[in-house]
Amino acid sequence: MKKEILETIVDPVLTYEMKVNTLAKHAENCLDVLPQTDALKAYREAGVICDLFEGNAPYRPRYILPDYERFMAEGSAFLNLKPAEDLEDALNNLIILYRHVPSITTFPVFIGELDKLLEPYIEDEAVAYRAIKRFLKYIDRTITDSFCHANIGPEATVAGRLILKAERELQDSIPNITLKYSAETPDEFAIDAIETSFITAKPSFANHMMFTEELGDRYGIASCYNGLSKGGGAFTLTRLVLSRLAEKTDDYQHFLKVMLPDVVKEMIGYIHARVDFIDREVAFFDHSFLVEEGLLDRNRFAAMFGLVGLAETVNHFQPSGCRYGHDAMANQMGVEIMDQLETLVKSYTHERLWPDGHCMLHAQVGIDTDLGISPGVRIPIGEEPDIYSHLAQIEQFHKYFPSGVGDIFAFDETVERNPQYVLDIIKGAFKRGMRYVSFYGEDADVIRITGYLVKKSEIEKLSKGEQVLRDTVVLGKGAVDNGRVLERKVTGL
Amino acid sequence: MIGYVRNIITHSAVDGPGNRLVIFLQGCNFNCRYCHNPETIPRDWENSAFEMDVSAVVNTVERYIDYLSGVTFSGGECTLQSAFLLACCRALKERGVHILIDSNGSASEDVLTSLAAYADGFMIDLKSFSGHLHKVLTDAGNARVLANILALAQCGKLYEVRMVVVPGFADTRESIAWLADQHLLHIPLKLIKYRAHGVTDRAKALVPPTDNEMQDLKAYAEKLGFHKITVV
Repeated sequence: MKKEILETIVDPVLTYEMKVNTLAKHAENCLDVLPQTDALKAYREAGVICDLFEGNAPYRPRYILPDYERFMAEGSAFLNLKPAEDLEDALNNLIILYRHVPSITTFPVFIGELDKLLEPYIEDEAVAYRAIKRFLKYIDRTITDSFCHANIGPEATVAGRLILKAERELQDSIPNITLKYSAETPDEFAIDAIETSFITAKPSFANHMMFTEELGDRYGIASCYNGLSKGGGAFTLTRLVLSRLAEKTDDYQHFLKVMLPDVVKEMIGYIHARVDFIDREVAFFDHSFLVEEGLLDRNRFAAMFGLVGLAETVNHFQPSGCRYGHDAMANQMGVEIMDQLETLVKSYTHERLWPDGHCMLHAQVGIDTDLGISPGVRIPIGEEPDIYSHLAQIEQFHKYFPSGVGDIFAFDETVERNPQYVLDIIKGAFKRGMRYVSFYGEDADVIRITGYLVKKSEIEKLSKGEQVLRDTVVLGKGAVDNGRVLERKVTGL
Repeated sequence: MIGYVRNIITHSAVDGPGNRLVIFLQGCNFNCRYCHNPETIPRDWENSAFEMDVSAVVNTVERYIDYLSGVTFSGGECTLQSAFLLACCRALKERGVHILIDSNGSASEDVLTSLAAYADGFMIDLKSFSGHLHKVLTDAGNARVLANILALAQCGKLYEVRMVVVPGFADTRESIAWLADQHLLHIPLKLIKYRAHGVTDRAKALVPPTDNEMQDLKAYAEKLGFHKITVV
């Protein structure tokens, strides 16, 4: 431990802020407070179950989505802030609150439905534009973590347009932005968003109808693409590296009927232990002004059951030449595994979990050290089938993941000249069950690494051993080096 | 009703607005020196294309319709198979499908009028304004092409005029000026840079324009008052 602390302190690449956060993590990790069975320990050591750097003694929920509407309407007694009277106040109040929103990364992973929050304060568009652009730049330079996420839409608003315009000019990686897209979203606004995504890899598009049907109106998209409750969040995201489990056997039926039930039991036990620690030992909800002032509701926190590597799992059990994403038999096996996982996860309950006592499935985007493991249920990079087969595959699997799943398409200049093409794909795929999708232009500097945004230019700086401002660049570099994410293609264009 | 189809592309970003399914019908009555799809020219239908009936076309379109802005018929010169094309357009229009026809503009007035009842628009190639140059480039005259451009504009079905820019062979500047004289400044222009990919030996004498030449042409069109100009 002392060695790790010293290494952190003398590290030439970490910024001061990154060092402080890493030191806090070392401190937390020297504790051993969560009950763990021997089986769980073995799964963790084998990398089958992974807590995604959440730490050994979680002292706040992993993801927090404050009720910013309420904050704007009522201000905060704890922060001694009155409700905003003009745009300047509104933006100032928000950046003050952001500083006090806990999360796994220490930075807020949800900064609100910015268009709706700001629209009432917009009077002069030119003045508002300058203020919003300055605000977004401030966020990029101070919330130095790409898991910070803003939402806009589904309706078109002046504020929404100004946010998109500012992002096209700034071309910053932070914040991540999602447009909640529905039939209410005017084509013109959607096209504006698509054109912005070609330049700066955001916003992504969320299937608003699908999310509201499952989570209700009060949902937000946080972190990578996580659908969670506004005024709530998620206690934890633990993940199952499905392919590492599969590698332990060649007997598919044994995997499905014996191994999966056992690993799910152990993982849910671990998740419930984390929930209980935050809820009972830390008593987070009894000691937070966010709860006291009604910006968080202790009954709206989920627990996320993440998974990666479905593709590799299926391919492991298929005869050679039969591949996930290409063959009906392989895809059917993927569906069977997901059905089994869903049934198993839903067989456990915990009274504290939103929305219904069960953990929510989450297609995790992967981490930088994942070698040969595809995010969530994605088709491996380099094996993408033609675009319609790819979409059909996506539409088949997105339904399992109300707390988040998504895919990414990179487009070339012919598509960039015809953004309606992308809108057509979105409309068709959302109608048929796609939950969430992101785009980027092949020539842009800001690109999407599985679920978050980084600048290619910053990865290059980091590769040369120089410091960079944003911590997610480190993850991005790992994903580029190990995950070949720059090679994501749309086949058939 | 049977048609001869060379190829179908189920998604395209370059054949009209949005995502389009493109049906390439076999056979062409022009013989353009720079043709990028010379395999679509022969009219020995049975040997060079596959047969499809109208219901097969409709079924193919319906399979992808959720993802499409519409369908584009191209070629070859798709209007040569006018009866089949008309039947396809009628059947697709009954299902509310947006239809564009990509044509060299040589169809007879009758064919054009009947198609215009179902098609939402036509994308017409204007290879050259000069009849002589047109003949050098395509082995065919352009009187019908010019007349059809005017007729389609009059009935509101001229979606776009396309010009392949080949210095010394295509009088693009004159073509643009003629369109302006005909009060067609509202029509989108697409200026396509000639590229020597996929062409035959007959294109040996052709030289691609520089990017500056393309921008000069765009500036010229803008100066005349065109406001929807795409350079590709």
